[in-house]
Amino acid sequence: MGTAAETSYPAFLHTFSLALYGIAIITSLLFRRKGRLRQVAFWCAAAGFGGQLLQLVLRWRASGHLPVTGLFETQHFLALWVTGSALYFYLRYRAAPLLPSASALAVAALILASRGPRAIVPLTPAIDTPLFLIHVATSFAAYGLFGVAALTGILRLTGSKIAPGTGDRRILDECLYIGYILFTWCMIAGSLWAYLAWGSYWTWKIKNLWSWILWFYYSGVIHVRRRGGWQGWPVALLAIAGFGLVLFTYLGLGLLFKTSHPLL
Amino acid sequence: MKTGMMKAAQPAAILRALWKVSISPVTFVVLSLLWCLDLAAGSITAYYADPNFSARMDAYPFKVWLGQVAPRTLPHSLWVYILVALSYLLVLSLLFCTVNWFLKRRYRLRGLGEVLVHLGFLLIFSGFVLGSTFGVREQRIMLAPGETKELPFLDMALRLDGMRVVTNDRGRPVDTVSEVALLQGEREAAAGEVRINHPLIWGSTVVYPRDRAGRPDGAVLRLGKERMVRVRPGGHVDLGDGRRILVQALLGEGERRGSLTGPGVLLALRDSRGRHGGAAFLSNRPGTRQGAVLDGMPVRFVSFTAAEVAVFDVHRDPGIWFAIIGAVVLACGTLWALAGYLGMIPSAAGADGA
Repeated sequence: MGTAAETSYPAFLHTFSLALYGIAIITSLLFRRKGRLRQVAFWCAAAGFGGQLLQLVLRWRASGHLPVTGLFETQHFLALWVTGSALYFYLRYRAAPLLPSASALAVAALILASRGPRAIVPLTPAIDTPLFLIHVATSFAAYGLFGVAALTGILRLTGSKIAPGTGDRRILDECLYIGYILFTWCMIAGSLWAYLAWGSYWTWKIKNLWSWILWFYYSGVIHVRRRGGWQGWPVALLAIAGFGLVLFTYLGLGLLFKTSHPLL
Repeated sequence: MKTGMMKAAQPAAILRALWKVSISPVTFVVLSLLWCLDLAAGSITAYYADPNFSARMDAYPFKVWLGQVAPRTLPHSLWVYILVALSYLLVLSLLFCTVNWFLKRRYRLRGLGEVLVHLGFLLIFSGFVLGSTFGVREQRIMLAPGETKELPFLDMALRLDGMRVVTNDRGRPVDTVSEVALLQGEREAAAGEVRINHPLIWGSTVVYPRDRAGRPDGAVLRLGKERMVRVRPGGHVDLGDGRRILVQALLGEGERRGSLTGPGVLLALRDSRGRHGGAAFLSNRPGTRQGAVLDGMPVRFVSFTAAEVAVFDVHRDPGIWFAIIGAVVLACGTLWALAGYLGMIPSAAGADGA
């Protein structure tokens, strides 16, 4: 595993996607008001997304499992969901203003990915279970959607119109709702895995506790997001604060405390 | 008459108001927020007070920890008491919301997903309470192949029939596969292979492989200048003239016997008539005695010999099936809710996410 042949194509595709997302940011800012040229940004982001998707398939084939282990793979998976959902919202709601910020988030994730080893390594017995793969894949998919929700919230608070009609509200709602469902599956798979591996589906380790905090936080958000008084800026603010919580749970805890989940 | 009716109406109005508050999503949100704040602040302060705080909590069923350990760690454990109170309030809020749905909104298929999510969570919580109250944990059970150990709290015994180490392609050990059996009296209740992620499950009792370890089973001593002997607990070394050195005890790392703390070996000298001729506790721990002279014979502790043992945890969680069924209901609820959200399930009352 991890031979030159196996690691060279991810290296190329990683740089390829990173560069295209960068170009997507620049072109979407440059051609913001230039009709058809604005499409360049969309196609750049779509090509970057395609590169990431191809990398995922190739790594999956080489390793025999969904590539979501280690910093490199998890950050790619996160970026894939961020740009994937931004492209979907672009096509469904014509949400062009979301594309540069989503591409910027994807670029940040890919730069962080660059810090992790790229070689494909076999799964150790502790993580050689479908429950682990479901747990990690759903958590990063949810993080990606919560990230796009936060970007939407920021754009709404700064007064930018993201999409025509009720598109803004629907984008935020879809990100929060589907993200919450994915995160619920992450918690179920993780708890079941913990029960089979360590003897308890609930542990008092700090990372696990903060994952529950995150779940309860978004449970609250899901309950209030459609209530009258919470429409508009309150729910936008909740989405931004929620992603702050995601970042602290994912990055902050790993840096400040000794956890059972060192930076994946 | 009118005053009497008003008096009767007052408790009913209070009950109605209480019910309204109980089923309100705002109540749930406020309680969730308080729950999150308490857990966030508590987990961080507890970590800084003692980085092993969570590991100590995980070593016991929660009720045992709460009743016996938490009072000794106050005020660092105060947040856990608050968390318990908030959890019960949260669950009551969810329960009332769910009951209300069944009373008022039962014909709406689209809302069923959310109700299943609530029901699933309630089942998981019930399972957790059952497991915390009646659960048992026996931890760090060390067994060499062929050995059996009683598990008094579970009224069972665990036997290790065999073990083999799995290595990766570089020869590094990555897992241990053990053949174990759970015994009830003489009867074998369950038997099978255990390894990481594959415990032995017998109802609500589960055997988890934890580790491999070396357990001291003897010691190597140097007698005089050159003679090396290997001894075992209860054994002896003949010194000639009928004199013998008896190995009275072998203490592993951290093991205690009276004022003695392991690792070390307790030796006693007997003369030809079996009379006591002196004793010494020898250890290789810094700051302790490694050698002694017994009746003119210099004796020095050299090293331990160790037998490889497998380490297991055995847990019994009577609430586990509630939790598993709850997780299934919760997962089904999210699937149903997602289908409703994406417009796959018709609703008479229009779109409603949650």
